Amino acid sequence: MNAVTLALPAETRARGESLWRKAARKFGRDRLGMLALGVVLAYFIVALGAWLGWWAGGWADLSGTKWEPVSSTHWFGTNIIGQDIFDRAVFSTATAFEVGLSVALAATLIGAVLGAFAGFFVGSWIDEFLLWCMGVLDAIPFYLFVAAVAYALTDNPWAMQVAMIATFWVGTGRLIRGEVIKLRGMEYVEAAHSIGVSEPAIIFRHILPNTGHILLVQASITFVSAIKAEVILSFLGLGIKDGMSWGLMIDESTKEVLAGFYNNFLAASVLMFGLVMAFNAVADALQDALDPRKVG
Amino acid sequence: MAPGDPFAAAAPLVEVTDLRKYFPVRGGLFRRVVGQVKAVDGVTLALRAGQTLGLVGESGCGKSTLGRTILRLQEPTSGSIRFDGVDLTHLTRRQLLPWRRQMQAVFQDPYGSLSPRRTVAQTVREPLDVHRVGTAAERSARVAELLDVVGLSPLAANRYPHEFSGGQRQRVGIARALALNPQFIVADEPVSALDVSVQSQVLNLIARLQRELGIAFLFISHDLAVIQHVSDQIGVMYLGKVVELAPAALLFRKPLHPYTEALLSAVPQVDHQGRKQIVLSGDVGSPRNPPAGCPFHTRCPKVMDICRSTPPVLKSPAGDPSRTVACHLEGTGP
Repeated sequence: MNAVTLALPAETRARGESLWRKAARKFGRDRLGMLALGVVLAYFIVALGAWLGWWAGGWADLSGTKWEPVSSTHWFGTNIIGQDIFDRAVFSTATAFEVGLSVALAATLIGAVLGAFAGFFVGSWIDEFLLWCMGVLDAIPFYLFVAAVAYALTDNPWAMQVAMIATFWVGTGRLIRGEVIKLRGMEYVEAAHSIGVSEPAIIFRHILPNTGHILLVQASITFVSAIKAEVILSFLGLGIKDGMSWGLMIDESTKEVLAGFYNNFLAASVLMFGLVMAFNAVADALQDALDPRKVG
Repeated sequence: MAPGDPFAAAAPLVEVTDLRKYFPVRGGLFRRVVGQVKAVDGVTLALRAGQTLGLVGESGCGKSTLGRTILRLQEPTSGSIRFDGVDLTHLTRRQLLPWRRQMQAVFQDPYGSLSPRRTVAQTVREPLDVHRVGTAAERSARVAELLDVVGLSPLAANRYPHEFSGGQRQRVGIARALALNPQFIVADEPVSALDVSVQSQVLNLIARLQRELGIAFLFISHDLAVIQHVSDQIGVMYLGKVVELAPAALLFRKPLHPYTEALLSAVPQVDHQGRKQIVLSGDVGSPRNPPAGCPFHTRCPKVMDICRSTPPVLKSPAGDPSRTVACHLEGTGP
């Protein structure tokens, strides 16, 4: 019955190229982005090794004397009580990834789902309620909120993460809500309605996948925010309780810096700076690669 | 084209009675309703199985809203929609589901009507999945068949919308609408976003489907030349109301409503003889605050006193039961 079969672009390829694959190809051409991704991966391998116990296991041991300088046994020297700063800095990398990944994943997931529901049912009581929740969370000063959560969840090692997740989802939620308000009017959503697709299926199958590029960028931004917040919170004594982090190292170093010993401070801040910079560059490159107006 | 009198025929497939869709206009500090946009204002239509009704009118006259309201993509403000004798007006989303198999839509924007992150096969297959038609293998076979019906290569299945041209995307949209073997399709400006050369391909495809599958179409367009190509009957809309409804050939030969006349005179023709272009002055009235009397009286070249006060009713003119018109010139006042 078929009279004309239209020519397809690049007829030889058997499979189509998804927007994700296209974006990945574009990302691959971004030299700075690839370099930054390499740096982030290097950090990640360092963190992975610390988790698996390949290195930095002796971060808590008193392996030297007070304030030893840089040497072949203590690459970054030792701190005020003689612990190896290199081991502590490496172990802190794992902590940073733990905090960053858990907060970024959870906050992005919550923000995506709640934002999508608010946007899809815009104007309804669901939307009003979710907007009210976001407004309330926005209105509480962050450090006060963290202190309150830490107090409420006494001795829970996840108190800081819970507080961060509870506040960081709001930004993603608002962004996704706005995007979904735009997407729900698209004709492919209308087509789904006319086919009889259920509302949750429309949200999860048709709308949320089309916010994927925003979610990926938001997750990477949240990751960086969480790492930075951890450093400040640990410094204030509201953060990591058991373990070691860059924030705790900087906290320790306050006594040392006054005495003219900078190793602890420099190790923590330079390592954090490197990761945050690299991750920001990855987020930027992702944004460029995923921008639908630029995918072409 | 249209065989005889549409009103004498058996029960219509789609029957729309006095349908209204008003959008509230909110304003002020507390977002109170301060007015209403009467997008569809009392439309009555009937469409038989296998027939195509063309709906024509300027942008903003409510023709798209009418199509969406008939499909219950918009909630009607009042009036009724009957499909195959069943009143769909107040059915819930769930109750409507079996009827969704019978009524489908083809949309205007081929770039907006396909989800960019889903392959052609996923898009075309979705209606089959939602309504649980056949086994997985049968669904895949059906997708291949549908792609063939609309003239796409089987290789199109695993590709993404951005790899296609506008005309090819529109074919995908048509394949999706055909998947469930519907009896009725609302085609909302399906070719107006396409190049003229591609328009004719897609129009021919629609005309062929109509012929071979016997699907009833509500074909919405602002382009009379396009409408003429596919329609049995043509309805002309102005400011939310149908002002004239007639068999296609008759409407083109002898338009009765001055607005239809003006629209027809604007269709470009190779042969210029005998038809003078009627240029309407003024703007379309506001659907929020439509003119009193006949909605067209503000622009009508043949306006009379009665037009400013009394709205005409859509009725058959004397001696011709095959068509209806709402114009005092034809004596269709109340």
